[in-house]
Amino acid sequence: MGRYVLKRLVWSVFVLLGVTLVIQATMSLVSGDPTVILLGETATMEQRAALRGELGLDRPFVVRYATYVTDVARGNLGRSYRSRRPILEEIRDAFPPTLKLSLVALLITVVIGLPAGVLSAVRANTATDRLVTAVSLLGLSVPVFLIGLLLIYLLAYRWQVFPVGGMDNGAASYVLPAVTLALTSIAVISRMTRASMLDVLGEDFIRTARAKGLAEAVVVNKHGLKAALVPVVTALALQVGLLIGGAVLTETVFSWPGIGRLMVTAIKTRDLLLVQGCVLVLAAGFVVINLLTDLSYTLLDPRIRHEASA
Amino acid sequence: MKPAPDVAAAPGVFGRWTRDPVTLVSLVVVGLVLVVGIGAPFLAPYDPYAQNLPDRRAAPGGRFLLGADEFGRDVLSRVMYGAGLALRTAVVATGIGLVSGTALGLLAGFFGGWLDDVIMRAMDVLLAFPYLLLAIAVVSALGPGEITTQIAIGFWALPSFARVVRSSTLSLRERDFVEAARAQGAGALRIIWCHVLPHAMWPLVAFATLFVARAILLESALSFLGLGAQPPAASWGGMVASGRDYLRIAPHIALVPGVAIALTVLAFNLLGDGLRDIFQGGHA
Repeated sequence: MGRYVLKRLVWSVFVLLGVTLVIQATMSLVSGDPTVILLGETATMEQRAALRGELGLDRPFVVRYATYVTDVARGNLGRSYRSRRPILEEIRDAFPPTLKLSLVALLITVVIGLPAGVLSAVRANTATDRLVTAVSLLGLSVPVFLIGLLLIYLLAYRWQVFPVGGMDNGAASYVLPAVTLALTSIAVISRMTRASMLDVLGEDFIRTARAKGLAEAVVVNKHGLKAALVPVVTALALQVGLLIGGAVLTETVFSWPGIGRLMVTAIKTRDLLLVQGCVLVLAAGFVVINLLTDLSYTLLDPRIRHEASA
Repeated sequence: MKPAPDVAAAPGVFGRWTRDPVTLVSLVVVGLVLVVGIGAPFLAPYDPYAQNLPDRRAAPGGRFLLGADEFGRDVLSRVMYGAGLALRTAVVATGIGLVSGTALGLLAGFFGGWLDDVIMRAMDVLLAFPYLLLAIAVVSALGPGEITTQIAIGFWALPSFARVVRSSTLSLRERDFVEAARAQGAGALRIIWCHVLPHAMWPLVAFATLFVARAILLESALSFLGLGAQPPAASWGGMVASGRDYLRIAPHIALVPGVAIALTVLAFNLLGDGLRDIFQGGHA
């Protein structure tokens, strides 16, 4: 078991190194002179030369990459070219709103997605099942930003139940952005739970539980759902990736002062280092969450625990 | 050497479409979007770029069936041109992912060993980027535009295609007809090209169809963020973004292209699901 954890940890470090490599490689894709993009046409030759030295553009890629990884490991992501503040500080300020919004969206996903999937599986091939399946397919097809705009149009403009955007109105501010962000994940989780539950409900131990005369609710909730949870937990962890991407769009629609909006603003002002910093931090967060999910299997499923110990 | 025999039977499964109304309807909708997208220059009632300020934000009905936007441009014509742009981007991007991912997946699955390890670990790194972020990283470096969007989405598609093709190749390389070809002295590349690829192809068609839906969603998301095709190009996501400022007084400017995205993606999703069921049934 300890060996399994160590193996996963080492692998995650390799993935993180790969992520930094991809990010650094994208910087090499910048067409034209990056100093023109970062400093504008009006910058002096001295300013450009200083920036070139700061970015290490005059050094080979391998050296540049090694410097970048060392800096990142020290928590130095460089400075934003617009605000001149350290990028890590910018991200630290914008992170809490994104985290809060994502957690609320994840909660909504679990509270709605799981029961919807279970209901759909227990009543497979009935009208309820078809309704849940149809709604989840719709959830996968409608773009996040359209859902957000529809909710704003109906619930903020027409019926004035919730604020249009921002996070100045306490709990009410969270409702529309969190629901918007959660809808796609609800669709994925309900489909996943349905498929996983259908598999489990056909297993011998469920038949045994029923044969013992246990109430159907106990069979489904205690025996079925617990066994069906492993693939659903994987899907939930992958949802975090979807939520992070969705947050970029949701925060733009609802003017939410999080990391997504910070990144979009940085893209528009061509603050490339800030964009890279945001991408790196979010991708690293995703890698860590995947690692924790993998490790959590060993607690959820005894079969995996035994394999991991072997 | 001819391709393996049961691939020839695959087109026969198309006959099942007539028995699956949902797939059939989605095929019709996808066909309509294709016709509208390709034929937009002939079918659109107005020039999608012609500004007509007295008609700006005109409600649907009357001269403009689906209304006019903030510059008085016909929303219907722009949505029709937008269909062309969305399809072009999605198909080119899916093509980039399909070709490069298939090549890498075939190599990894067929040869195995260290090559498999290197390729698939690289794919794992690309998959470690949360949705949208890899595309954002690429577009922010290359600069916004239609072609860079296609490259970014294609790059994002690459690992998914590589994984799917690798897993089919792993099972195909153990099949009897591959052994037979090997016994006859066929080289590795010939076996991959003539025997493995044709068999891996049909499930890939269903996956690619589902991927077109994802690519359309991603293209619209990038355009919505201002990273896709630049104005005055008629991109669906860009139209929704510019209509956002007029949501209270002229909701049609944002909602019409938004609904077009949702319907098109839904049709591709349903078609992809249907194709997958048909091909899985066909190979069962």
